[in-house]
Amino acid sequence: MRLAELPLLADLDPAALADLELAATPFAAKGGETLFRQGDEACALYILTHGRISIASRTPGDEEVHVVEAGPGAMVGELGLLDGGRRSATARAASDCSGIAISLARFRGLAAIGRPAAFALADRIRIGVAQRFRATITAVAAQSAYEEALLRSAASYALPPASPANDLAPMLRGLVRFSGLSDADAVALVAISERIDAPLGSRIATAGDAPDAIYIVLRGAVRTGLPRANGIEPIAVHGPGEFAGLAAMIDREPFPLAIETAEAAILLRIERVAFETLRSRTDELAHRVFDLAGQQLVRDLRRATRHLGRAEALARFRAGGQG
Amino acid sequence: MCRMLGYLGSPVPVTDLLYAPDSSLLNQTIDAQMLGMLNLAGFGLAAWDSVSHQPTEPFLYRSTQVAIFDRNLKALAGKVKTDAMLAHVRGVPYNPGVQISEQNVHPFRFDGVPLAMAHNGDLARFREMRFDLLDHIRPEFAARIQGSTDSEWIYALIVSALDDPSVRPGPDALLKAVTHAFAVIRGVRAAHGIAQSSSANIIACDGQSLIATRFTFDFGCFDARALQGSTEFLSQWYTLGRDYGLHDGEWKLTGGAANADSVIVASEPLTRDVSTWVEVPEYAALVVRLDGDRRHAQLVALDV
Repeated sequence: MRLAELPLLADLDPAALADLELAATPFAAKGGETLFRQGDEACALYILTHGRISIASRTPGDEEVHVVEAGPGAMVGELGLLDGGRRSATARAASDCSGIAISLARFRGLAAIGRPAAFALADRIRIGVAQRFRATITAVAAQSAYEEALLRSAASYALPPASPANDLAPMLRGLVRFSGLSDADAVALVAISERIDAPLGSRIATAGDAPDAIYIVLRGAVRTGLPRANGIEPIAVHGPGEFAGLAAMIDREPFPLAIETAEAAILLRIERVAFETLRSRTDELAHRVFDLAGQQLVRDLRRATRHLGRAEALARFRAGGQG
Repeated sequence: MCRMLGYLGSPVPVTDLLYAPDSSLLNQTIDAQMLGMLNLAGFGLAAWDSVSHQPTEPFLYRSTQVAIFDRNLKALAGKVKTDAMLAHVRGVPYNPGVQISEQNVHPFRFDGVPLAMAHNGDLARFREMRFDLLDHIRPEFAARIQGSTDSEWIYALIVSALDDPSVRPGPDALLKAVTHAFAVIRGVRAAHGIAQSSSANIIACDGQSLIATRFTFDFGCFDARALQGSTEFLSQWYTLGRDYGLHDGEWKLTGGAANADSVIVASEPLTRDVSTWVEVPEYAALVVRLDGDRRHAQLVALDV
């Protein structure tokens, strides 16, 4: 099968597709065979053309929780291409399956010489990771066992109005994750941003809202959480140098979680139009910002997967107690 | 910053927690996976053994030596089993003003008080605020503070908040005391205008109950330059199950969550493969309590 026939890559330009054709190799696995195990070093991503692959994660107590089953057209094992980390889940062939594999080394080679194919593929991967994050949150939401004592009240304040962000470039570059930006790029990034000084308990987004902006935390902290009947179940806290509202801005779907300030915070707000313009660029600033975005998407997904595992463990504990 | 470890469950050799896994607590002294600092300012442990002489009293060990070169510790850890343990390797900033002494080695435990506590983090501008904490510390405990750490004062605040510090408090009273201590610190910081990010990850254990917090006051509020160490929310992880040991080439608890009888909590997982570990959520406490013959790891929001 040619890569252009894969829906995932169908709209890539011919030059990018040609680069990826050179980097791709075929793979096949028999039903029951393990493609990779949780904790392994990542070495390749797989795009499935036939068959199904089951993704499972281990939980405390050394049990497994089924995360998702991938079918034809889906990408598996892509997280390592964004962060180079270890496998966050185990992939097993649920049936005889085949497709193409792109090795991490070849992908990095393309990225190192600035080939647009690497940037285009990374964008597809980021969208895929954002969608998996969304699916994992949906699975957490469907899990009736959660820690009631962990719930928090919903934020009570609306976000205050924005002001110019011109003077925030040094503060941005002072953050470890943004320290690699040049002075000019830091100035350019704050130039497309607005400053918001948000008190503790400010509501940045409601789950289900259409994404209108992304936020970079400069000081303080932001919490994401899942609305439950009696409060918000915390999913993650994002501190200085992290994004808030990332998954929704990447996959262009509604915010999957409520977003609130967990501390008084200074935020950079980037409107959706400005963010999409940055996304369409292939310069150094765009490369660095989306590299950071990809790394955080992976962190957020790994964390959400562990959250799901913790919920499964709690459900099993409670079920065991009734026996 | 420091590294610490708590265990509550079936008896296990101390060496299996301190030395054996590929990212064991002592390996974290020089090669922590989630912290870019060395932890060379001392090591301490409190380990309970319910079938030992005076089972409510823990075996205590404290040394300012670099623990991975401590042959006495190595020999003892290979001999002793424990069903509840709290261990800590101390990390300090690269600052000549820091005092390295046995009095500053965690875990802290006053004579006659069953509760022991270890801390990972530091309270910014502590020396400015500490004497205002005295209003909330019982005089008999204030007199027993020997070292110069903020951690020992946090411990004194917690035991002062217990109705009867001379008996094992149980998980609910312990959680209440920890919450009260943090609220006191929050109030004193506010009175002094201190709003700088200050971590208070603690593990408190009395041999039967265990509480581990993952908490930072004013997280993310830094001065213009980043602090030494990390600007991340300090980590705290846990895992649960039965029969801790080497299974299929991997150090882990097994047997599933439904019948867990053991819990390990640590500032980072004891294995580089973190598959069976999860983090304690930010601004929360892990409360380990007995439910029949099973152990339940409950998570509770810390609203202080």
